[in-house]
Amino acid sequence: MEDKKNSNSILLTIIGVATLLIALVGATFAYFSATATSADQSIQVGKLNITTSLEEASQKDIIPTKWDDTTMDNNKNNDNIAKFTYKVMGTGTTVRDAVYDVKLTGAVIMQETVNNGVTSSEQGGDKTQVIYKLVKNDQSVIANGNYNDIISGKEIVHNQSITGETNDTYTLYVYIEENNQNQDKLQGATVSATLDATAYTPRITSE
Amino acid sequence: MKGYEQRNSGNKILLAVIGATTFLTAMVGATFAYFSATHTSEKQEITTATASLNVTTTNNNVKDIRPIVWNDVEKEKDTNKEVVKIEVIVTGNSTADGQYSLYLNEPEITLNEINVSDNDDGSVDDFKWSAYTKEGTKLKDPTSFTGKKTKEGSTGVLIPNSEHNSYTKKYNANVPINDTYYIYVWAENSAKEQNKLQGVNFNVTFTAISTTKLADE
Repeated sequence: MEDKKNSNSILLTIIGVATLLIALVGATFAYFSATATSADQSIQVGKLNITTSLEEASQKDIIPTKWDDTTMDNNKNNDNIAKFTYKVMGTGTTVRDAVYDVKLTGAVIMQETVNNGVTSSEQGGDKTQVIYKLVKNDQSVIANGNYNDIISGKEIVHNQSITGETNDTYTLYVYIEENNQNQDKLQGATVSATLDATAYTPRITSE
Repeated sequence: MKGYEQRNSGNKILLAVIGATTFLTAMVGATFAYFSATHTSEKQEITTATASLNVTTTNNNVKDIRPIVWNDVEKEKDTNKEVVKIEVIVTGNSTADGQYSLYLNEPEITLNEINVSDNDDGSVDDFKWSAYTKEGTKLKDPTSFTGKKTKEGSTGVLIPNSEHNSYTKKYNANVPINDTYYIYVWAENSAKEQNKLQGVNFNVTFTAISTTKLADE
């Protein structure tokens, strides 16, 4: 009877200890958790777009002439001053603080010989007498020079603001500056102009 | 007369057997016929702890960003128009002590492939983020996005907590959780053509996970 009681006690103790052990081991994994996720936050990068158009000059067979510094309308109506209309647009641009530059590259192709009864040594005329003037939005002249300066291209517009609404019109005037001397070498010459616009977003620095 | 004696003896034996049987039955019956008494105590209730958690986000509504040099604008990051500032607020309550971790869930990022030159330098890791406390303490240095979406939650990128320089924030039972973090997102200027970044859109989310099991100190 005593032996049976003792073995019962031992069995119960073992069961109790085992239960306690299981409870202790179970306790390291038995925690509560909660999870929450936020709504979407949108990150959106802007766009930069520039388009240009250049209309061919209507004037042909121009002769040397003078530029009127006083009355702009006289220059507009002067048939010996070639006019190119150049447009710069930023349609589709959404970034802020974007700007554009315009580079003018020009060429004067002169005839090799001009036969008009004047000796070669007496003939005058060269690329420095072919003049360009750039007017923005039909206002004042913002750039000018001669064709010798733009053989390799020259930046004539710098740091102009461009947005989605930009629609700038430039008029490029080209003429032969009359110098009251023989300029026959420029007879029959072909004058060309190429305009390249580049838009970019400059680096921002803290004020 | 002798038959009467024998019959008497048989009856006595029978009676004895019956008596013994009855006694035995009584004895056996007696092992089931015990006293018993019960008493039921008052009902004792045990409640388990509860934990609630919430993550809300707002941003400064900056759109159409373009590449910047973070070092140039960090001091004015709260007002710079090319930096998206996201406010992340973690709130909650628990009836037991615990801790939570906050994750930024990596989004999938697809670059622009239209009108880009072969020399374009734009890449996904130009997109960066940095984390600060509400008080302005930096929690995480500028970190690039990978561009590969992670599952929301514990596979995201952990946002460090300034306390104990760890990745968890402890809370006490019955003390409301109310923590604010600022996450800044921008496109880093590499000083090269990055037209691959033009028009890129992606969304960022955050997940907080709390447990009532405290991490080992």
